[in-house]
Amino acid sequence: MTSTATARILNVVSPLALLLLWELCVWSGFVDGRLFPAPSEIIGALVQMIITGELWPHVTASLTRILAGLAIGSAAGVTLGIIMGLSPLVRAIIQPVIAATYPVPRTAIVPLFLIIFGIGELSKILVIAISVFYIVLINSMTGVMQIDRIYLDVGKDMRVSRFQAFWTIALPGALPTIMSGLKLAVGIAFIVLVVAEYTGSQTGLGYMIWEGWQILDLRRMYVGLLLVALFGWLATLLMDELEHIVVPWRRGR
Amino acid sequence: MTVTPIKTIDPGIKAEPAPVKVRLNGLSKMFKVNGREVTALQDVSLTIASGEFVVIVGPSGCGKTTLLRIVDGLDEESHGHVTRFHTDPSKPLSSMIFQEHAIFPWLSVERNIGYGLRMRGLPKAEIAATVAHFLKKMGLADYAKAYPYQLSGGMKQRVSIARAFANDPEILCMDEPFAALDEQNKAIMLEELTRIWSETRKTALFITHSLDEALVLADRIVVMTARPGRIAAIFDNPLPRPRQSYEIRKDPAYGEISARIWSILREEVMKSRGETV
Repeated sequence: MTSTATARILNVVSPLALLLLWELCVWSGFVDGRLFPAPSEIIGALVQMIITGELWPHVTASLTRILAGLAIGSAAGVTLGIIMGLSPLVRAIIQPVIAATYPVPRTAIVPLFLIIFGIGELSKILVIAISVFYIVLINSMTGVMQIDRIYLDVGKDMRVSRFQAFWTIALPGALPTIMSGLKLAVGIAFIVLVVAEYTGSQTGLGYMIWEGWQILDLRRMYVGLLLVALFGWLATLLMDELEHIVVPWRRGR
Repeated sequence: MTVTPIKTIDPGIKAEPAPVKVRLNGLSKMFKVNGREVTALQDVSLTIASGEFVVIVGPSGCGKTTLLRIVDGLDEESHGHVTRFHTDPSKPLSSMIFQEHAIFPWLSVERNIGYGLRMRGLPKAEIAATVAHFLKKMGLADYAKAYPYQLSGGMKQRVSIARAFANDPEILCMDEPFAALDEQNKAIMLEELTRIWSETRKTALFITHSLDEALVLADRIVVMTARPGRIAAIFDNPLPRPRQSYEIRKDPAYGEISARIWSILREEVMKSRGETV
C-alpha cells in the first residue's frame, strides 16, 4: 500500500520537476529563450489568452471532439470486442477485416475521412473514434478470451442464463484488460485529435499549435503543446482513478 | 451457457423402495484428442442413494473428473444414461466445488457466497440471511467484504465450499477440493466439511487421491481403473461416524480397509504409469 502511495506522489512530482528544470535552463541561458520560451513565459501567455477569452473556444472544441470520439469508439469497441470474444463465429467473420486494416496508421486516414465525412466536426470525431475503437476492441476481445474456463464452468454449474453469464462473468472477467485498452486509447485519442485539427479546422488545440508555428508566434504554439500535455496527463490520472473504482479487486497489485 | 434440465424424473414418481438419487447406467465418454478417439470412461454403472456420501478414488487421468462433470451436468455422456432424481424443484439439483480456486476474483466474499442465490433471483432478505449463516459457519464473518486476492488459499476454498452449500443443492459434487491445500489445512477443512455435511446430509460425490480423505468422508468408496476408467471395486466404509481425520487411524479396521483398497488401487496406478511411461 505504501509503495502505491509513493508511486502516486511520484506521478504528480515528476512532470513538475521536468518543468522546473526547463525554467532553470532558460534563465541560466543554457537554452535559447526565443525558441524555447521558459515555462513561466508560456504560462504568462496562457493567462493572457484566458483573460481575453481567446482560449476557451479552442479548449471546448478539442475536449468535445475527444470526448465524443472516445465515447463512440469505446462503446462500439467494448460491445463488439466482447461479442467477438464470446462467439467464435463472429470472430471468424470480423477478425480478418480488423487484422487487415489494423496496421494502417490512424493519422494517415485523416484525409480519407475529410473526403468521406466532410471538413466539419464529424470527420474529426470519427477519426478519433475509429482509433479508439481498434485498441478497445482488441483488448476487450482478448480480455474475454483470456477468462479462465473455470469461471464459465461455475456459471454453467449455477445454471446461469447467457445474459447472466455476459454480465456477471464475461464482462467483469474481461474488465481489467478492457480498462488497460481504454487507458491506451485515451493517449492515442490525443495524438489523433491534434493531427486531425492541423488540417481543415479553425478551432482546437491542434489548430493553435499549427497556427502558432505558421505565424511564428511560438509562445502560442507552446501554450497549445502545454495544454495538450496537461489534458493528456489529467486524462491519464482520471483513467487510473476510474480503474481503481471500476476494478476494485485488483487493488494492491 | 444455458443448461437444459437433464434427465430429471417427475418428483411425483417415488416408486423406489430405497430412495435413489443418482443412477449411472453403462456410462461411457469419448474425447477426440488430435483426431484420435480416447475413451475416458467405459461402461460405468453406479447407484447412489439419497443422502449417501460416495468417494471416488483412482489413478490420475482415469476419468474421475469427467464422471463428476457428467453427474453435475457440465459435460454430456457419449453412451449410457444418467438419471438424477430431482425431488424438490425449489432447490437446484446439483452444485460443484471445483478443484482450484474457482471463486470469482471480482466479487467480494459475501457476493461470491450468494452468487448462485442471486442468479436464481431469490429475495434479497433470504440471500442475506443465508450468506450471513455460511459466513459465520465457515469462519469468514470478518472477511465478508474482502476480495479473494486478500485471502489465503484455505480461506478461498472455504468460500468455494460455502458458495456450494449456500446454493443448497440436492447433490454436491466435489472435485479434489483440498488438493491445493497443505496437510494441516487439509485436515481441518476435512473436519469442517464433515461437520457441515452431517448437518445437511446431502447426497455427495467426492473425488480424491487420498485414501485418508476417502475414509473420513465416505459411506462407500469407489475405486476406478486406469484409462479407460471403469469401476474396479466398491467398498463399504466400516468406520463408524463421527470420524476425525487423525482419530480414525487408531481404529484397527482403518488399517485393514486401507490395505484392501490400496492393493487394488496400487495395481491401477501401476497400469496407468506403464501406459504413460
